[in-house]
Parts: sequence; structure tokens; C-alpha cells
Amino acid sequence: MVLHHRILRGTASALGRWIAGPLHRLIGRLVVPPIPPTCRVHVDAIMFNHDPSAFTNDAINIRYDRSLPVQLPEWRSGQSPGTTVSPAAYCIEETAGENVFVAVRFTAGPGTSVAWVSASGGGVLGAINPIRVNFANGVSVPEFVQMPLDNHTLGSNPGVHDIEWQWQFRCLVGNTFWDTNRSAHRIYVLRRAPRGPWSQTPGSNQNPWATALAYACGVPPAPGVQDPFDAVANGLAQALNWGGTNANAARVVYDVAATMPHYAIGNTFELTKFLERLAGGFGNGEKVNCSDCACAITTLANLVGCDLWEGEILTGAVNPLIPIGFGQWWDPGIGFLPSSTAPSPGSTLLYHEVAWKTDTVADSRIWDLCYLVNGFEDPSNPQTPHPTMRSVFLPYGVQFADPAAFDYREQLAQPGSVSNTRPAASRTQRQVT
Amino acid sequence: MTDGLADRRRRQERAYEFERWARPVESRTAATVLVAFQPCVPAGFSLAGANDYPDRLHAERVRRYFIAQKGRRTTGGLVVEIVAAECDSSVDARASVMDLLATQMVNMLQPAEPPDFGDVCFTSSRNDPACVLFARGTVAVLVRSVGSIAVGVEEFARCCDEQLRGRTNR
Repeated sequence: MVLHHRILRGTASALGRWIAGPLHRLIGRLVVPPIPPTCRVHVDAIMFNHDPSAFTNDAINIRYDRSLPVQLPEWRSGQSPGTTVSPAAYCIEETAGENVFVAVRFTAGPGTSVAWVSASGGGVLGAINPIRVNFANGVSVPEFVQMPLDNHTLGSNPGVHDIEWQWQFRCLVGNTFWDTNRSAHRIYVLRRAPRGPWSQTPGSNQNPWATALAYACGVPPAPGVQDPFDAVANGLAQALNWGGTNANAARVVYDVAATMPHYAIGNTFELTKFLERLAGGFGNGEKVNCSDCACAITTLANLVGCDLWEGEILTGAVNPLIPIGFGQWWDPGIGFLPSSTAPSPGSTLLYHEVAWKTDTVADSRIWDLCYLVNGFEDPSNPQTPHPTMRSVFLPYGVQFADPAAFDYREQLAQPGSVSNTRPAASRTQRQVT
Repeated sequence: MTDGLADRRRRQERAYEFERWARPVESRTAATVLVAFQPCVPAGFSLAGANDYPDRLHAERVRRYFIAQKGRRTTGGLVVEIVAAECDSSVDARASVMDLLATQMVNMLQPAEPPDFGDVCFTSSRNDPACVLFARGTVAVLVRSVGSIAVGVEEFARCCDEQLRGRTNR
């Protein structure tokens, strides 16, 4: 039986080869090969941020980092590929319902006066539909042609996207689109235009940095949070301190020896150094205090459209806290408690600084990355944390003071200090350096 | 300085009785203007980096230095940061010390009397502290451990102070 099958299979295979060979040669003689293109078109440069004064129809003003601006056009032919090559950032809220387009400079071979150009691929920016381009002296007219991004999906794709376009052209004679060069780009999609300290003033070193966008856009929003911007801030907060020993992306620990800032110096936040830390480097070292933490979340969240501020809290005696980078309850006066149930005297904190949403007023939401608090409410003493039984609570996007609930202020301050624990009037968004 | 910082500084001036030590009463070094502070690097360590400190404090120039163990990259290990504020006067140097004290969340730095280093000195503990802040003449110096291995900075602070004292005695 097996032998019979093998014979049949072998016969069929030989018959196939006998027919297929001549048939292929016959088809080759009958089908006309495509006519080579009568023109040649090359993509020479692409500008995403073609109007630095606005960002409803194009990308926003960005730079690589504090010292290095992004030159326009962002992409030029021959540019070597890489993750930070040709960066551009779009804002979902501001571009929604608007005609978004890129400006592209083409070159063409001698004698070419008109060609059709399109692009396939493009990821979140989509394929580009064919558009007629005029040429004079081998360069497109106008020099930068507006290419509508009719197929973009920016609205549903916040984040970081590495995209590539395969550019194509068609000459006036013939219907075939021919491949020309490819272009690769890194596209950051923000939910909304960055808030302070980030600025859209052309040329400012406070224009959003690609190095910071790469981190902030890559962190997913926290699930289960209704407000999309709070979800973004919570996602970043959780990445920057998810609780416990060394449990944070920057590998920082609270400066228990001196409680001084290391990155938030004066009116500046040393973001360059903090990003270095996030990338695995040393930065300014592993120590931080509350101002550093408030700056980190404010600066990175605002980069992707949140609206947070750094604001101080005037405090008195506080409950035990878990400082960032540690897994133990800590009292400012006596240091780390010997166990999670050890009583604490409740020592005085001179001030505290957290990130605030909008104004620093009592019913605002806050993000405190520096101190995790006790979220275990004392059943016999409502709206007060239990003095010895403790559960770690991450105070991210929670109300500072809520008369009807066991709120952050009550978790932070000793019962006798709650009324004295209040937001300081001033608020700031430190400049990045 | 933001309103919050200014307000906090005022509160801290009271807490640290700044009026008491804001002006030098007697000091051989008080009148000498020092510039171009050079950090002292003990044997077995090397200068891993230096840059301008973003806050001017009350100084003409504030430089920051990172000293790391030799042969170790500064991505971890034992690293000490030295911030040196070069001021026009010893009064400004003391004001710079106060500026830095005001950035603490808890008053961890306590006065060392008589001073272990400099003309006025604050340390995070009496025994080989992790953080020392002092002023010698017209220079305010902050020395603190910032690496993943906690280290007492007394040796670094003493070394810097001796260097300053040597220069002011010239």
C-alpha cells in the first residue's frame, strides 16, 4: 500500500514538471514586462513640525535634550537610521478633527515636470494617498509639498511609535507606482499639548525633550482610573515608585540622613541627570527627597499633557511613612521602625512637597511618590490610621482633604496635626535643566 | 527663590537661630576671599565628575564634584558629592549654609559645637556622618554620600577643610 502511494506521488510530480516548464516559458513570451519609469522621484526631506507657531496641523516643537535642538526638516535623505533619528511629537487633543499633514521636499530626474507620489506603511501616521507634485529644475514646486495624513490613527494611539514609509511615485506615462526611497521616524503621540515647565516657544530649551518623551510616552496609563490624564499620572507614579525596597524605575532611595534635595535644586529640576538615572546611569546619585519626587512626576506627567504642579504642604507631626526605595515604616524623629506594627511617636516634618493637580487647595488631588502612607483606617477611630496595624497605600491621584473620607491628609498627619497640615499657597513647575 | 522656598528659609532661620551665627565674630579666615575651590580626593578615590550647581545660593560660583572609588564606574558603589559655594564674604558663605539647611524636610543636620570642620559646621550625626555642611572663610561646603554604598564623609570633609585652611593661612 505504501509502495503504491509512493509510485503515484512520483508520477504526479514528474508530470507536473513536464507541464509546468513549457507553460512558464509560454507565459513569459506572452506577458509584456512593465515599461521602466520615464521619470525618477526621490524623497529628499520631510518636515513634521512645519509651523513652529502652531500644532493643530503638524507636530509640536521638540528638541533632543536640553543642549541639542531638533533641526528642521527633521528627516533628510541619507540620514542614518536610529531610534532618535527624525523624532516628531503630535498632540491628540489639538489635532483632533484637523487636517494634519507633513511637508515633503522631492527631487526628480531631468525633464520631469509632474509626477504622482504616495507612501505605504507609516504606522500611526498611516499611508499617504497619491498626490500630484510639480517639479522645476529637479525640485518639487512648492519646495515643500503638503502631504495630508488622511489615514493617521493618532487619536487612538498615544505612545511611542517607530514608523517607516515606503515612498512611491508614478510618472505621467504609465499606471505603475514605483518604489523610491524609504524613510524611518520616531513618532511620539501625546494626549494633549505639554504643560509647564514645558514650553512651545520656538527655540526654547524648555521645548519637550525627546529623551524625556521616550520615557514618559512609553509608560502605560494605570488601568481603572476614570480621568485619562489622572490615569497617565498614576501610571507614571507607579513606574517611579511601585512600593517597597528599591522598587522604582530610577533606583532611588530617600535621603534619610539629611532629607535634602538632589535633583530639585533651587528653581530647577535636573531632569538630564534624572533621565540618566532612569536609563541605568548614575545621575546625581541614588538619594532623593520629596521635592525631587514631586518634580519627577510633575515634569514627566505634564510632558504628556497632564496639568500638575509642585506644591508644598505645611506639616506638623506625621504618622509613620514608607520612604521611596525602602520597605520599612519610618518616623522622621527616630528613623526606621523595628517592625511594621511597632508604635511610632509621630515626629515633626518641617514641610513636605507633592504634585498637585491644578491648584494647591484642600480638595485637589495629589501625587506623593516620596512617602507611601498607612491606608489602614482604625475601626474604632474613623478617619484615622490604625496606630500599629498598617497597610501600604500609594497616594497617587487621591484627594488631599475630603471631609467625608479617610483622606491623604489624615493618613499623613498625626491626629493632632491634621488641622495644621495644609497646602502652602505657592505652587511651581521648576524649569528643567 | 519661590515664595515657598523663601518662606521655608525664614522658618528655618528661626529654627537654627541663624542670627546667632550669621556673622563671624572672630575668625582668622573670615576676611579672606577664596576662589577656585578644588575638591580634596583621598587616596583610592578619583574625581568622577564636576559641574555647576544649579542654585547660586549666596555665592559667586557654586561647583559640584562627584568623588568615586578608583576603578569603579559611577553607576553605583561608594560616591561622595561635594558642593562648594565660593562667596564674596564669609557672611555670604554662612548665608549659603543657611540656604542649604533650609532645604531639609527634617532638621537632620545639627550644629557641631565646637565645629568639627570650618568656622560653622552642621552634621547629620556625631560619628562619621553621611552629610556634613560647613563654612570656612568665604567658602561653604556640603559633603554628602550619594552612592549605593552608604559611607561616612568625615574624611572627605576634613580633607576639604584642611585644604581651605591651608590656603587661608597663606
